[in-house]
Amino acid sequence: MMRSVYGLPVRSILKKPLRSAALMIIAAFLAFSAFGGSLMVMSLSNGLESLSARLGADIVVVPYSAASKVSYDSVIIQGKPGQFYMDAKYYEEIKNEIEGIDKITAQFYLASAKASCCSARLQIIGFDPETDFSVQPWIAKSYSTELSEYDAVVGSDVTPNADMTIEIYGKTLHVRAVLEKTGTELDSAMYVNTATMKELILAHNAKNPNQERAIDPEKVVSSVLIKVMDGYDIDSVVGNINLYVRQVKAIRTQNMIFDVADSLSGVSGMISVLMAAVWVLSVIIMAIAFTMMMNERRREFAVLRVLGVSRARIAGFVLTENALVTLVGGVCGIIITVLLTLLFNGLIEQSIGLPFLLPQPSVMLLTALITLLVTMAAGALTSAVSAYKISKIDAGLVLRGENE
Amino acid sequence: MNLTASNISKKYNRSKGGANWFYAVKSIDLCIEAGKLTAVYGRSGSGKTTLLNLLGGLLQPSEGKVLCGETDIYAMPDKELSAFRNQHIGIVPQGAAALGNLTVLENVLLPSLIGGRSSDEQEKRAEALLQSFGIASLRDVMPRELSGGEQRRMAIARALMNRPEILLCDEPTGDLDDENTRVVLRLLRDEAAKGTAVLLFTHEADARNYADIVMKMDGGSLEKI
Repeated sequence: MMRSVYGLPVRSILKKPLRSAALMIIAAFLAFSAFGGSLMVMSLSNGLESLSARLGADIVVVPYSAASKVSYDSVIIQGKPGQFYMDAKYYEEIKNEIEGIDKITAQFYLASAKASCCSARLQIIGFDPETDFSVQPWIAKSYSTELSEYDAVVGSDVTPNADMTIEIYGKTLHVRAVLEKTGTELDSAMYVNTATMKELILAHNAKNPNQERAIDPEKVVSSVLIKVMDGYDIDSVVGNINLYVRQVKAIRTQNMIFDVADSLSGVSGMISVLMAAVWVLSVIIMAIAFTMMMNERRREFAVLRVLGVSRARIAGFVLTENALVTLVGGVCGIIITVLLTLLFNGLIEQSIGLPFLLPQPSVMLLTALITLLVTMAAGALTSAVSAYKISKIDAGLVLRGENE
Repeated sequence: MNLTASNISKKYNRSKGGANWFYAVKSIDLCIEAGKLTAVYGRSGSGKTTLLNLLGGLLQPSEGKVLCGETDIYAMPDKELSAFRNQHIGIVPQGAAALGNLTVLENVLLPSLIGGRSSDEQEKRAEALLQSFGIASLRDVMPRELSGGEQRRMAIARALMNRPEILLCDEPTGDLDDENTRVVLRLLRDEAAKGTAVLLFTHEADARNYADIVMKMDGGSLEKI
C-alpha cells in the first residue's frame, strides 16, 4: 500500500519494468563510458608517473646494437622480456672518463625460458647492490634487507611456489618479497643481485649449448644507469658519452618517458573523443526516449492535476523519476566498469602496450561518485524539457482526449 | 459552499500570433448551490468541458471570476489553488481517469495522500466509499481489470475522498449501460442530498429526473431550461 504521494515515481518505475530498464541501460551506458574512460586515462597517467619515479636515473646507456628503439625502450621502460649486452669495459670507461657523474650502476637483463612460476617468459634483472640507485629504493618499499645470493624479489604478477621459491634454469631462488604493482610488464619481472645473475647466466649458457655466442657474465653488462651530478647539464653528459665512448648509445631517460607520454597522450585523446561521442549520442537518445515516455503518460499527469497536484510538484515527479532511473542505471554502469576493469586489467595493459596502473581505491570511489553525479545531471537535463511541458498541460483537454 | 461563476469567458486564438479569436465559453453567470444537483446538457463542442475546467480551477478564464464561497480561486497562485482544489473541489473527469500503476483502493486514497494525509482513518474512509459504491471487493484490483461502470464509480469515489463541498462531473455516465447509468446518477443525487454542490455535465436524458436544476449549453452560452 502506497503511504505517500512521493511513492508515485517509485511505483511508476516498478510497474513498468521494461520501460524503466530501457532508460536504466542508457544511464548505465553513460556511466560506463564516463567512468571507464576516466579510469583508463588516470591509469595511463599513473603508469607513466610510476615509470618515471621508478627509473630514478637521468641517463641510460645501452649497446649501440640495441639502440633500435623497440629493443631498449621496451626492455627498460616497459619491462618486456629481452636481452642485450655490451662489453663491461664501457662501464669502466664511462665511470672513469666522463665528467659530471654522481652515481653510476650497471644492470643485466636475461629473458628466461618458461619458468616453473610463469606462463610467459620471465624478465630477470640483475643489479649491483654496491652501486645501485635505481632498483633498490623501489625494492626497499617491499623488502628492506639486502638480497643475498639466490635471493629474488618479484613483480606483483609473478606467483612463486608455495614455499616462496622459483626454479630458473635448474637453480632454486628464494623469493623474499613481491613488489607493488607498476602497471608495466616489470610486474612480471624478477630482481636479483649481480652474483645471482652471473650464476643464472652460466646456468642459461649450460642449458643453451647451441647458442651463437655464450654470454660471459664476467665481461658484459646490459645497460648503465647514470645519475648526473648537480650543476652539470644532463644533455652535455649524454653528448660526451656518445662522443667519447664507442659502441654505446646514451639516452636521456626523460626523452624515453616523453616518447611514452606522447603515445599516452594519443591514447588518452582518443578515449576522450570516444567518450564525448558516446555521451552526446546517449544523451540525445535518452532525451528522445524520455520525452516519448512522458508524452504517453500525459493522461496520468492530467489526472494528478485534477486531483490537486500543483504544476511544480508534477515537474518534481518527472524529475524524481528520472533521477531514480539514472541513479540505479549509473550505479549499475559503475559496478560493471569496476568488475570489467578488475577482470581485464591485465588484458588492457597488454593490448595498449603502455604503462597502466589503476588509481587508489579512494580516488576510484571519488571518480565513481563524480561520474554518478554527472550522469544524474545529464539525466536531469534530458528530463527538464519534458518536466516543464508536462507541468503545463491542460488537464481538461488531455482527459477529453484532445490535443492541446 | 456555493460555487459562483461571475461573467466568465474563455477565448482562444485560432491562429498563432494572429487575432482570430473564438469563444469556447461566453459571459456565463452561474451558481452551483450546496445541496443541489445541477445538470447541464449540451452536445459535443458546446463548451461543457471548458466550463468545467474553468469552474474547477484548471483553466484561467479570459474574463470574469470564479468564487468558491467567498474565495476568488484564480486570485491564488497555482500551488495554493491546487491545494484548494484538493480540499474543496471533487472532479470526475471525462473517460477513464484511473492511475494504472495504483490499485483501486490506492486510486481512491490518492486525493488524501496528495493532501498530505495518510492514516488508517483515511484508509477506512476509502474502503467505506468503495463499499457504498459497490466495488469493495475490487479494492486490490488494478484499474485495467475494471469494467467501464466500475471505473466511473471508482472515479466518483475518488472525487469524494476528501469530502469536497463541490463536485464537478464531466459525462460520468458516457458509454455506460442503463443499469450503471442509474447507479451513478443515484450516487450523485445522494451526494447532493448530503449537502454537496453537484454539477453534472451530461448527454443523458434520464439525468433530468435526478436534477434539481437543469440547464442547456450551446455555443459557449448557458441557459436555464
